[in-house]
Amino acid sequence: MIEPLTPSKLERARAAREVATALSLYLSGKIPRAPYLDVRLHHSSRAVSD
Amino acid sequence: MFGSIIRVALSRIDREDSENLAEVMADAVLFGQIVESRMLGVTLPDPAKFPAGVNAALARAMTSAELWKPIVNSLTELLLRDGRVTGAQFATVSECGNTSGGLTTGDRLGRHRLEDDQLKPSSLVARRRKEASQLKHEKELHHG
Repeated sequence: MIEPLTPSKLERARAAREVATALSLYLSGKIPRAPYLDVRLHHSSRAVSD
Repeated sequence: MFGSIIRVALSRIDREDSENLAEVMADAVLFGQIVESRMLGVTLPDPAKFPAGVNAALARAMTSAELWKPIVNSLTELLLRDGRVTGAQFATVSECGNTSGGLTTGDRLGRHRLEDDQLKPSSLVARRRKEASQLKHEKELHHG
């Protein structure tokens, strides 16, 4: 049985996509420093590199 | 609400080392999408049904999604719990958490390996303070 989509599940999946994309870029060595991820500001996501 | 990492990464990327940049970006975007799709329970396409180039990239992203699942989950938990992941936390978790093949990513990258208790953020701060203190002490000895 397929689990229903919920807002929290969607948020978690989107956060995971953000993390995974950042992880891939970081491990590639194309970003000089590890990224800083922040989702608290203005109820929206901010993702910046240190 | 999410989705800014690619824009910011593009602005901060090392343009001096632009070799394979297009491939790296494509891999990162595809990897992120596969991870999200898996988490939502979306049925993933069969790589064999695509042309060779797409086939290879898709298969690579799927394999990576499986390999890096514990790390992605750890970082995602941290992000949703605290609302942020610092650069130090990101580096520590990503370099030390994946022990596939008996080696951490940090080992494979030739970086110093941390013990489990050193992976906790509070321990990381304590370790940095200790290193700073040792450095200061060495400088004092050098100048003294």
